[in-house]
Amino acid sequence: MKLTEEIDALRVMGLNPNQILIIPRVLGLMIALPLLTIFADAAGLLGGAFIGATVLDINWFAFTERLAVTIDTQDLMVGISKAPAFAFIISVTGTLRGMQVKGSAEELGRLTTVAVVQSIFLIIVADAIFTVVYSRIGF
Amino acid sequence: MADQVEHVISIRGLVNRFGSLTVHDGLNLEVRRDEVLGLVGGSGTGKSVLLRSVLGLHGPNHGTIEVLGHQIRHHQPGPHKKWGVLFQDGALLSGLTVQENVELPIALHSDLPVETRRELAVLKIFMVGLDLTAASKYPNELSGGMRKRASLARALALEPKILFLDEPTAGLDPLSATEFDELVRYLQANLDLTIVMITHDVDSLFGICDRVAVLVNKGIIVDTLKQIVKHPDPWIQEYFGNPRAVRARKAAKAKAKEKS
Ligand SMILES: Nc1ncnc2c1ncn2[C@@H]1O[C@H](COP(=O)(O)OP(=O)(O)OP(=O)(O)O)[C@@H](O)[C@H]1O
Ligand SMILES: [Mg+2]
Repeated sequence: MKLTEEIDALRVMGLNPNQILIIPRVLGLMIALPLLTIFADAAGLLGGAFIGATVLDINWFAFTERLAVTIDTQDLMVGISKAPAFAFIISVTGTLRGMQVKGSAEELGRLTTVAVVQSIFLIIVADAIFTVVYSRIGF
Repeated sequence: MADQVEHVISIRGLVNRFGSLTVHDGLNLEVRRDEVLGLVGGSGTGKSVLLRSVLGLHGPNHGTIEVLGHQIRHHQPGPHKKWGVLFQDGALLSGLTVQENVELPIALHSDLPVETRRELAVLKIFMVGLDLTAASKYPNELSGGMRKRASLARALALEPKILFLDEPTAGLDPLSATEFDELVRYLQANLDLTIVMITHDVDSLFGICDRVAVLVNKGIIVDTLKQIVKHPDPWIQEYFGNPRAVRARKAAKAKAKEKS
């Protein structure tokens, strides 16, 4: 298959495909996921404000005022601090499963599903650990 | 020892098994310096597995493989600067342009300045018959034949001693295939190359190979084209008795006569 051939080509040239294919992806996602988290937080708040203004009759001013009182930077930091860990889990699971693809496109599909399921599972486990640790240290 | 034939590759007692399937059983093969060796065999006889073993991409069950004095071990560093490989589909890195693909091995194994590296890559790209427009394209923007040429340029980037070709003319139209054969012949004559070529194409076999290795009965039979067509093995007889092979042989003979 074409994909495995590219990896073979790297090896034959004396490159370690793990270094070339895995490390940049892991680092890339560890940078991108916290940013994505911030973006998702912002989108969530904007959505909340929009629904508040149009459906629930809470005007924009009241929303931002209450927001400032009830939410502080710590809430933001809790989410962002978990993001790199989740990014690591997702990218390592994805690339390692990806490297196992041999032979067929069917296999690629199967391993993609495996990678997604395992990432989700591992994220839930990691999130549980974060929750325990954060509540212990009172973060 | 000048009169002794130099072996650039020697394979001894190679055994490859997949579960209960034995692909190679005690296979021995020596490749001589500066020859073009054609590797043929029926589908599933283990040509690709043999090539992958030699390149250190597959760990054989038994046997030793030596390439230019390096002992080959599975996924261990090998003579990366001294061999070039043209994989069947080209195996160019899809995220890089042709130019960058060709530069990659140079960047990796030399400390040439960027300018020189670039010029060297362009030289190789011209050598395989591509132009600068093709050099700036990504692999998926090229035709199959151009991809093979680009991949050949990458394989030649470090001026290797051995070139491995996996079915270089498969999937090419007859005209491009003939051109590719001529290119390989030309390179071999001008660059002191040893070439090992897996092929199904009888025209390339008769056109450019000095010797032929046939994979039969989990082992290998090697001889010159002249001798091997007389070998009693039923598969060899069938293969070379096939009308296409007979035609190719006649054409090669006529061409040789024309030259002399
Ligand atoms: N990774 C693998 N796992 C299991 N069996 C394999 C593996 N690789 C190759 N084989 C088997 O080894 C045998 C030889 O395969 P190989 O790909 O070398 O054949 P080939 O001579 O290159 O054939 P073709 O001309 O069709 O390319 C086949 O029967 C194949 O099924
Ligand atoms: Mg094959």
